[in-house]
Amino acid sequence: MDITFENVTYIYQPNSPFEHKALDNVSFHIESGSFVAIIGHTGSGKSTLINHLNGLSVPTEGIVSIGDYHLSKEDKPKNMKELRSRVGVVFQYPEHQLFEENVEKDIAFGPENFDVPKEEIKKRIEAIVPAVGLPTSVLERSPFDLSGGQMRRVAIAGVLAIKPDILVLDEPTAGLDPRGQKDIMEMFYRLHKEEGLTTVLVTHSMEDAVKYADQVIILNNGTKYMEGKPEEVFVQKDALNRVQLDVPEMVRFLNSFKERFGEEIPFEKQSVKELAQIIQPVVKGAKVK
Amino acid sequence: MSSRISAREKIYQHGRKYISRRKNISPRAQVYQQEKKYIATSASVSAGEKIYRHERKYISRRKNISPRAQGYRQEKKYIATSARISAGEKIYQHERKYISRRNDKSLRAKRYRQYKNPRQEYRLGEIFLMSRKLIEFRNVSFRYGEEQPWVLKNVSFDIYEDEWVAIIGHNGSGKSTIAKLVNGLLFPQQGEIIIDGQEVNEASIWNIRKEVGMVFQNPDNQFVGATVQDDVAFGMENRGFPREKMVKRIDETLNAVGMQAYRMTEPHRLSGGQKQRVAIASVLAISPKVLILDEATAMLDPNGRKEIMETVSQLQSNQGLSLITITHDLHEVVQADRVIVMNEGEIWDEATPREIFSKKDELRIIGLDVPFVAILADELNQVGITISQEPLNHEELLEELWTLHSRT
Repeated sequence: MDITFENVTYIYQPNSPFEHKALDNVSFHIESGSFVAIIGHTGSGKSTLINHLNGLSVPTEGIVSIGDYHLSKEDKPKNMKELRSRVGVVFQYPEHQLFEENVEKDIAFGPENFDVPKEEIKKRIEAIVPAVGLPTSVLERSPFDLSGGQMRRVAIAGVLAIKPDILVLDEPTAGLDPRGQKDIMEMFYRLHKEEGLTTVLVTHSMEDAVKYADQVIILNNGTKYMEGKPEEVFVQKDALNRVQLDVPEMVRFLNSFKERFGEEIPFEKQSVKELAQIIQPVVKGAKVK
Repeated sequence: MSSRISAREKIYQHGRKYISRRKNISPRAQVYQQEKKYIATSASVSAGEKIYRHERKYISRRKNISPRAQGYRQEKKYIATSARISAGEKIYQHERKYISRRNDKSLRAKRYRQYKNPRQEYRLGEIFLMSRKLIEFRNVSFRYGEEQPWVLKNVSFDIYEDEWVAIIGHNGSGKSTIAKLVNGLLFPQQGEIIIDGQEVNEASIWNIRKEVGMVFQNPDNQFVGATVQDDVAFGMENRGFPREKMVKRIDETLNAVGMQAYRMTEPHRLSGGQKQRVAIASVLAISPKVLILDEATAMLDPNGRKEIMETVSQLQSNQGLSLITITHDLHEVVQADRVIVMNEGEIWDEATPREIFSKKDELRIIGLDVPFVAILADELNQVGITISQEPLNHEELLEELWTLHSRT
């Protein structure tokens, strides 16, 4: 499903002393099947934006279109539930939402609410549990007996069990150790490819955005500040610094390298290994090709 | 209902029934175990502490604003920041701050010398002026229950006054357990923990907690004030700070964390990262001797992290503050004086960041990351550029590359 924002403005508590404009005239288009990273410093409107993707918030002005569903102040869809069954949102620290007495029931909670037949739920659980990297033996256990990383996987499985077309991830790796972060991101990326999902990732990690995203949207103060491919957006150091963001570490190194050696190496999402091979001849005295 | 039993007894019985089916370390089981221990021993724990322990796990699973949850947060905050402080202590702290500011550089230098030659004896007076051991773990082992696996196994280390130690390790390696042991939220089954000369036990925890400020990962569990400035004032109110000093400290600490514009803002209007900056300000306001950041920057954006770490590092060097950062953020690790690497409940290694990051392959095996420059240095070695010293930042690596370049 495509996602389109047309001049979307969202105001918290309008016409009160606490009125706060969280989104200000934001427009963008996300192609079905693409992987988009949304980046911005704390308070830039990322979470508000996400709330629009499954109708938790309805725009104060403008229109949000998700596939055939349209959200605007005048026109709230009656089939909001249907929309929510197609947009899975993994909120920050999703493990805080676990509550059932065993893992199986917790994963089944979402699809049950969407009236998925029992046998179908069972089938889905069987497929999802290994896909998120959990052993099937956890199904009988209490989710609160599991480690933090496992709890998060259970919570993610609960979202995947509704078989969404759009997967929205709000800092899904926060608080995990480096290996856990990598495993979870690789898992999402695999699911994105295999299931043909449209994935919207809210992240602070420029490195993850470079690695996985086809498109990057940078928010600042509720407005869209930049948009484009990661390799185009992430080389604009000054523009990013102005909104308290930094370029990926590789770009920072390439910039320092240029200052020191006077040789510009273009950023092309190369691996560290490839970078070493590019640098090697320069250090030995050659020019960059 | 046939008989009137206390709420505590009910929870106990309920918990017992529930838990007996399974041996586990779930929050529920922990509450039960704590209850059981309490009832069995009728230990002299303060009312606040009891409520705190009792509520802690109960609330952490749900986000709510019920009076119960509010009360819980208040207790937690109180424990994290409070203690009554004697007039003598105040003068002492004032004096200490003054001394450490005056001798900042040499104090640090002496500490390093002492750290390098731990066997070297120093005269008593000299030891007082330079760094003392502030935290000692002696053969500490801990597990959450009698049939549970050991979470910490025979762990020993020292942390000196004015030192910055980073503790890293995969999730479940025992890092956070160490933090909870330091301020007496948990007690070890074996070994002893000594904070500033006092052994941590039920009798000393109130003294200990005035020395140890903790900032946790999730700011929602730590915010009690109706406004930002109330929240920062909370710990100081509990310690009876005079008003003028409170006003001054609120200004200083909110400035330090870049939240001065939000003085009168209510917490629910702040984002997670902003709340965490306030939480850090609240703890800094009471000037503890040890500041423990338990993945406290994990929820901040990169710029927020950098700001917090700069602030904390400045405070650490200006005030003779010991800093323990439990973190996955490699930039925080690089800034530390010393790194303790935990793996499966044991100290896997204890060395400078440079020494630690030279063991890239081993670190990866235990599930940890290595910085970009360290990886790049490795790849450069692979293609025939020999990097002699493990670089900690871009500048060090570029310097070495430039030297090699100039020689060709």
